Amino acid sequence: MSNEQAEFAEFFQASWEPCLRAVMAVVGRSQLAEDQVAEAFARAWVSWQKVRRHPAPRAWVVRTALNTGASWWRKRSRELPLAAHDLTTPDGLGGGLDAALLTALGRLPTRQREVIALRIFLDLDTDTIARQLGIEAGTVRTHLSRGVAALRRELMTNTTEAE
Amino acid sequence: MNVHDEMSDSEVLRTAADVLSAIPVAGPPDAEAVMARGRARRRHHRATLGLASTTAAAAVAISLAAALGGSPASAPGVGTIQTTAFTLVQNANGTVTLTLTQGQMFDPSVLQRALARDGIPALVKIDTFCASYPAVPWADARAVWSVRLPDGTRVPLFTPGEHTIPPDAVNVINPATIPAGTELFFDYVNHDQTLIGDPLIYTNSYSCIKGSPPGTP
Repeated sequence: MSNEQAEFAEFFQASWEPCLRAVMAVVGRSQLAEDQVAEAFARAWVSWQKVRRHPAPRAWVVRTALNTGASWWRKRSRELPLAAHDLTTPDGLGGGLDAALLTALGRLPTRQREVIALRIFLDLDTDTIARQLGIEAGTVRTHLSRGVAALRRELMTNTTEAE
Repeated sequence: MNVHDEMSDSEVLRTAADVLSAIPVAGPPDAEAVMARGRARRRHHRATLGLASTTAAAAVAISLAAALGGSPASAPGVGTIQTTAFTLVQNANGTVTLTLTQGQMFDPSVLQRALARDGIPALVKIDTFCASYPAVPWADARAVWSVRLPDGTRVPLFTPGEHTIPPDAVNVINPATIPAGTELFFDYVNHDQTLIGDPLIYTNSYSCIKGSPPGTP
């Protein structure tokens, strides 16, 4: 294995899970997210000379994965918004709070989910998220604020009902 | 006031991260497989490019030497070399125009020898993708190989995205610009009788994978 291949393999091993979780938080379906992330990493290898110098290579992968999904959807005549039930609670994961939060996340507009996913799984700051999504930093702050507020409401409601 | 009224943004995000992180996810596939997928993707892209440039073969109006199926028909360095499967034309400016005749049996060794006679080091394969890693710089490849319209206009190939190659475009090779230690690589795809130009590889450092581009039967 060449140095370049070894470098990519190291990046791939370290970045697979956070990238997959970020994409999964946006698209809601684990199998779809795996497919999109695998495709994005394959493209990252093709463009490795560029990606390795990217200021946020994991964000490049996530952005590419999400664009891959968008392209896939655009090829279909009917594009359906992500429904809340698409984010399922897997077996073994606690119900209640967990399920409520996943449901709330699924109800958020796509852009809000993207901003939240990039923040919590890639730990990107506002300016970097803005560059990756091609939007203004102020818009990122707005999406983040609204998304967090919606999740907070769900957490509050769920806790109140539990009491 | 409920205690959750006091949850900060970071606490909400941390809770969301904890919940999402608890969802089991698949481990990473083998890195080699992902890299192979990437290489196949590059190859598929080039197949898209090559298809149109190959179908242009029949449209090229040139003076042809006698057509022979098994070996190049002309002497080294003299004007045109033609077989039933391809034609090489030496141009006045030192470049060489390569076209294929679609539907003919293709022998990679014959094309490789014909290119060598015109001073073009090349590796020609069938259904096999070869590349150097790291790759030869695009700028070098761009100087050596191009797809051009009959009026000489270059068809853009080295920019992102898919490209539509006009049916009358041809492959043009400039032997004088081939960097030392490199050679041209061509992959003939049997399935759609396409010659894929994957411009340059390092002569002593490349690897090959066998198979057709994804998306072909």
